[in-house]
Amino acid sequence: MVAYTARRLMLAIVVLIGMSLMTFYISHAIPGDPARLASGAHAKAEQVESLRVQMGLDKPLPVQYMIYMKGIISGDLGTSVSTRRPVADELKEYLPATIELSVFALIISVVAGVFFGIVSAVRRNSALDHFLRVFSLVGASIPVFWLGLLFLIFFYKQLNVLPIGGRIGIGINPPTKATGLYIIDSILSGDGIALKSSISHLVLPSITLGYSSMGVFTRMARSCVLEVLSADYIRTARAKGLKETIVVYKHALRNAILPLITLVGLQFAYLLGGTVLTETIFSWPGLGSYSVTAITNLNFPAIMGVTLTITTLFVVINLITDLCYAIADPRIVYK
Amino acid sequence: MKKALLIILASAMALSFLAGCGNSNNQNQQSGGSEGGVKNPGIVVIASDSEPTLLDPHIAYDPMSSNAILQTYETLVVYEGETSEIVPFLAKDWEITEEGKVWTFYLRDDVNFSDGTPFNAEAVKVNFERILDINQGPAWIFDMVVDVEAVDEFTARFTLEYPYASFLHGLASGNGGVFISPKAIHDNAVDGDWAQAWLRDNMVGTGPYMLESWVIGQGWSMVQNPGYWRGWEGEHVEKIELRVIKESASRMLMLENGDADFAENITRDTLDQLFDNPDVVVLQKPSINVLNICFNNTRGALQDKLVRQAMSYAFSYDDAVFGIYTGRASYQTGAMANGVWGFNPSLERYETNLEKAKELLEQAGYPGGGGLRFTCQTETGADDYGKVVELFQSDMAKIGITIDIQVLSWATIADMLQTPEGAADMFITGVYPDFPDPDNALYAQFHTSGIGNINQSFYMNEEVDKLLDQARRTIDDTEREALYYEIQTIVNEDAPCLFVLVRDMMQTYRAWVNGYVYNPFVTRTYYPISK
Repeated sequence: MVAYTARRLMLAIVVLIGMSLMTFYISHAIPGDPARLASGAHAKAEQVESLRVQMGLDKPLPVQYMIYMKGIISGDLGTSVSTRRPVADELKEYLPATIELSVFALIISVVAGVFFGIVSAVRRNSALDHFLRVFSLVGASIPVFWLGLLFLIFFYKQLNVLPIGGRIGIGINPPTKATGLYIIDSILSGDGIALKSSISHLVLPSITLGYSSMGVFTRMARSCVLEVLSADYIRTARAKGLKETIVVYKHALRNAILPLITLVGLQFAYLLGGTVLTETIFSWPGLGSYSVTAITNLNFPAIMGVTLTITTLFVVINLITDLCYAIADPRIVYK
Repeated sequence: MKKALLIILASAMALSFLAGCGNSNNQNQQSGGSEGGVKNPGIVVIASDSEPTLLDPHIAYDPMSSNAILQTYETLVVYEGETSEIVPFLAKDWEITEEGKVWTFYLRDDVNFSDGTPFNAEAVKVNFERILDINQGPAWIFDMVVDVEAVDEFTARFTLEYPYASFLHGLASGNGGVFISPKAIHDNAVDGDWAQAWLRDNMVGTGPYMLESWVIGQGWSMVQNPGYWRGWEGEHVEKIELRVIKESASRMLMLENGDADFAENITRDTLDQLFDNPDVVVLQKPSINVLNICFNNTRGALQDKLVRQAMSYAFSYDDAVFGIYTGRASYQTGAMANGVWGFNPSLERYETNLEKAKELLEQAGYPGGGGLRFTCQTETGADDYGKVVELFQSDMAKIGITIDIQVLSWATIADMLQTPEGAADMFITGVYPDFPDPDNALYAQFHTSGIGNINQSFYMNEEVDKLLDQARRTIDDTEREALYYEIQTIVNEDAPCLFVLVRDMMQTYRAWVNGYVYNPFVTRTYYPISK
């Protein structure tokens, strides 16, 4: 397992270099002059030139790339063109927000999706099965921005029980930063007000995002469990007189779990990179909104930073997913 | 199973315990709450679609940065109330000598920075040295300053390269001409960077509010500066909080629910819903922000002013003002809004006249449009601009001119506009003068030296260049006014752009907000505001 992991990590470096090369050249091929944008419309040619030199944009592209890669080794992802702040510092603010939202959305979609899938499989072709299938299908088909707005109108405007957006309430300071994940940081610092506020701010965006990917889990869990339920060992388990819940959750689900693990990995990576709309609707300050602003402002270092971060997360999540197979199924051995 | 249930229960109990207990970071803080029906009393909450790019007042040059900067940093002079009259502020008086080349300011002696250090002539000198040395963002407004001298502790003297009549406006506008504590600059400078890295996220000024926190992506909050020189008698809010709320609909909901006191940039199509709400004020005021379709004056048939005039006569101004902008705009006569001092009231506005447009095209040698075809660019995401350009396209078709619309990101358009050869035939743009003076509204836009930055129609007229140079060096207002009248007449006749309209300023806020004074020329400050 250790050798396998090491090999995969080596391959990941190759993937990251390839991705950085592609993103670097594609983003620099976009017509536009970041130095001109950052200097403002009134800036004279010499002011723009001076900023261009300061940003290193006057050098040939291969040289710029080498400088950038050299910086990465020492943890320097460059400086944001618009805010003049180190990109690494900005990612430290935005990435935890996206991770927090994605993790909660994933928990919601996995727990609800797998549970609904099992119920559907066990109660195959019943009214409940049909209802859950339609419910899941609606989640997968409904546009996130529309669902988000409906939630806001109902829970914020009509009932006024949940906040409209952001990560924390008006007049409340964010918890002392340790991880950047507000819920964890609130617990670590014993900040009850921040914890309560963070949880209430997370409810609507994570349900909105989670509901959209829940349908996939429901469908997958249903078909996997159905397949396993017709296996001989399930009949044997039932014949032994085991309780139906033990048959379903211990014997059937355990054997149906491999495809679900793959799906969890894929969906988590998808959620991390695909939260733009949810973040916009709920003013969630995550990587999605950061990357949109970066692209609009031709903020090359920020675009590179976001791309490399998401690529790294994809690679790591895929690796963890593969390693989880061995844990879930002892028959799988990595050499 | 039972074990798992126990763990979940224990966690839930721990969370509820924590939720109920106090803490160090949020002690004595209450979110929400109301007093006499007023939500969040003591805090003014602004729901905004964006946040500052950075907080260094000598580099930042965008409205959202100014919105934060001008709560903490102050200017020597300010605009009085809703007017463009300039009155003393950090400077209690000033005098102009040597025919406008030397400006001497007598400073107040009771002003301190929020770090306790005094504001004095040395602070003025250090700050202007910083602006000119960094030479970014708003520095161009002061590029005629050659020397700043501290004559005595409270007298600062500016020497200009040439007499510059708009110098006071430049100081009053709040763009760049504000003062950071020299101690903060000195203490936080790294390798002679004038503390640029530190001042990107920190503020030490003389203003009424101090930065409490700025969480990027979420917004900032400011609290009262206890030693503020104007004092805290009367009613003022204790705290200002800006929340980044990306969606216009969400900002509107916050305003309706009373969670926001000001909602910025509510889209025009949703504003109507707020007019009948007695708890919300929708303020509509004339502004000086004009909308132009800039012709590339160096390109083919567009070099001929008759063609440009013809297009100006063919446009349906009524449809733009009352249709697209639903009456929240006014007609524009000439190159600048009539709210700017020096506006020439005798100018003739281009009114829709298709017959005249056709005649002019014929005179130019393009009868029936003569197969003229142009590309007009508009920027991605600017819905209003897109609608105006579509209207322009259909109007030009009436006189036989074909317009191809190209939608591109502003970054791409701005890059193309650096040279006349690279620029498209025309593009639509909003023009926001930094201060209400014709020099600011006209010089960069129509002087040949502005090509490559603000002169985006690539307009070149030697006579206009000469008059613009003369006007900016003329101190006598009557003489200046006459010169600007003449400039506007020539520019209007040349029609380098199609002057579409002047957009009204729309501001939405809760009716419980008191003391709000709208001035079209400067960023809102929250010191006079209470709830």
